[in-house]
Amino acid sequence: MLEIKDLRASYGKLEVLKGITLKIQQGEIFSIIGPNGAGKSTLLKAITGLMPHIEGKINFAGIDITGLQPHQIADIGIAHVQERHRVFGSMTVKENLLMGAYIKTKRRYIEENLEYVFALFPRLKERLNQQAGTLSGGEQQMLTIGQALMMMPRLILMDEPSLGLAPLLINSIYESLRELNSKGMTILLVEQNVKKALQISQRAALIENGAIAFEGSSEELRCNEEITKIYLGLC
Amino acid sequence: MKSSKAYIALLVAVLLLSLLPLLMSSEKHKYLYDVLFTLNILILLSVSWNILGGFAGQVSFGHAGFVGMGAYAVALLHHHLQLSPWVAMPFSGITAVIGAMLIGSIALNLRGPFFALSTLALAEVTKLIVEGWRGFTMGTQGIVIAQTELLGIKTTGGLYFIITLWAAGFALLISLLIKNSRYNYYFLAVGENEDAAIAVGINARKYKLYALLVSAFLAGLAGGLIVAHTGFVDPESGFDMVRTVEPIFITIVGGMGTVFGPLIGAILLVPAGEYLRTEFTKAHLLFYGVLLVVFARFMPRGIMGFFRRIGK
Repeated sequence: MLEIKDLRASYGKLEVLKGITLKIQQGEIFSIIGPNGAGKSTLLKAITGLMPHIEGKINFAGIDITGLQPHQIADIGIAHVQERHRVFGSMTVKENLLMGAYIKTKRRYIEENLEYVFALFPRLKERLNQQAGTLSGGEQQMLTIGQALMMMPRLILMDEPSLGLAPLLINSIYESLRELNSKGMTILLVEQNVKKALQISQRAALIENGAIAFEGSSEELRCNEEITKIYLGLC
Repeated sequence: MKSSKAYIALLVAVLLLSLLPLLMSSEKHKYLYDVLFTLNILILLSVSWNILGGFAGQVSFGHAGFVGMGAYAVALLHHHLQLSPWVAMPFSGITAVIGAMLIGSIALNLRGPFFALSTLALAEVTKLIVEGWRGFTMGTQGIVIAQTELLGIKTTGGLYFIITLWAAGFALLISLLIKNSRYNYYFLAVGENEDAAIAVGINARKYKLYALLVSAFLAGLAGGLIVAHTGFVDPESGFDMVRTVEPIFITIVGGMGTVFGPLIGAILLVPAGEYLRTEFTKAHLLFYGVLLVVFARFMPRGIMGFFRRIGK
């Protein structure tokens, strides 16, 4: 579904991605793990057009999306749930969700999509008219995911959904991701929480210094010697 | 609906106030009409600044640049083509819009304080160009507009009051239309969290440009009206920084991001400022400064925000 070929990206002279090649299959959760600064978030940004200079090819469902603008990529059906909880703080929960339904062709389905989001995150329904800025960190994370779902994406890029959340909330967010995936959503997951990521995903890749150090099934990665050297006690 | 009441109130207010010159003659109340002219211009400018700075969250320090472009558009059309300033008036806004496209193509790549500073710099650059291009703009010598008759009628204080009143009313109407449309949400989203706005598929740059163009049109119009009124423009007066500073103060005091905040701010500040200006030269700026500190400390959302909080 998503094919990345020899993708390179840099901040000025500093090359952050040094030729990444990846294939994400429809219907899977694919996680990307790796240490801080390895280029995980940059990879997602490069896919959604947020990096100014990229080289290589990115192909999504048969369309070449290399070099497209972020809003065009959103139109095509890739939602990017970014690191840190990015909500519109002064708007209500409902307004935030409606902002997600910005794309014209998706506006007809607003009611169904709202129901879908509420079924996944009942908490958001309870807080419908509350200002998004007053929500807890976990609720804001739910809201960002809900906002992404309002776009009816075919692929969701998820950047560190567990960041800064309490363990219970992490579990509940991951439960929702699993549920989404079971309904057919393809998810590309970037995580520092390696254990969680490898539990939920079918396949995974380890990125180090802007290049893929290892790729395989999540099971393989969990028991891979090199990885257990970096991340203790996974296997 | 509540919003339709606002439209009617605006129309009734503008119509009723248009009758003022019938009750008070321009000859007897020359000073009053001068103050009212300034008031209307500053309402127009503050509403303009608020559309970009309040609605779309893009703080501009360069509004004096758009005012100057509008002023010079009218003055140059009069000087070179002998057009009446009133015929040339639409070009004040249009010229500022063209200028804003050029400025925007550079400044809109930047965010927050960097955007603000680049608008300031680009406004100054425009002023320098006008100063330096003597053959076309007459440079620092300035341009005098001899004839200001409108459709053969002698333009008096009362007539200027009515014209600027309608211009200010027009700006408020645009502001209301934006506030009640989808664009309000797009502007709000881009202003509050540009990254999140982009993430949900909003073309942030496009909406920032829209806000900039609407804002520039109104500021340019203000410039054209000022020139028609004073009958003279030079780079110093046309691109006067005060035309950037005052609308910002007024909008912050009245309430940024609200439709009627700039109106309330102007009604409160301009008469007080005029009084201080005549009593002590330039003291009104000191007064604005003190007021700004007080508001930033105690009422950061301005008068409109304060009442809204009490209302809840």
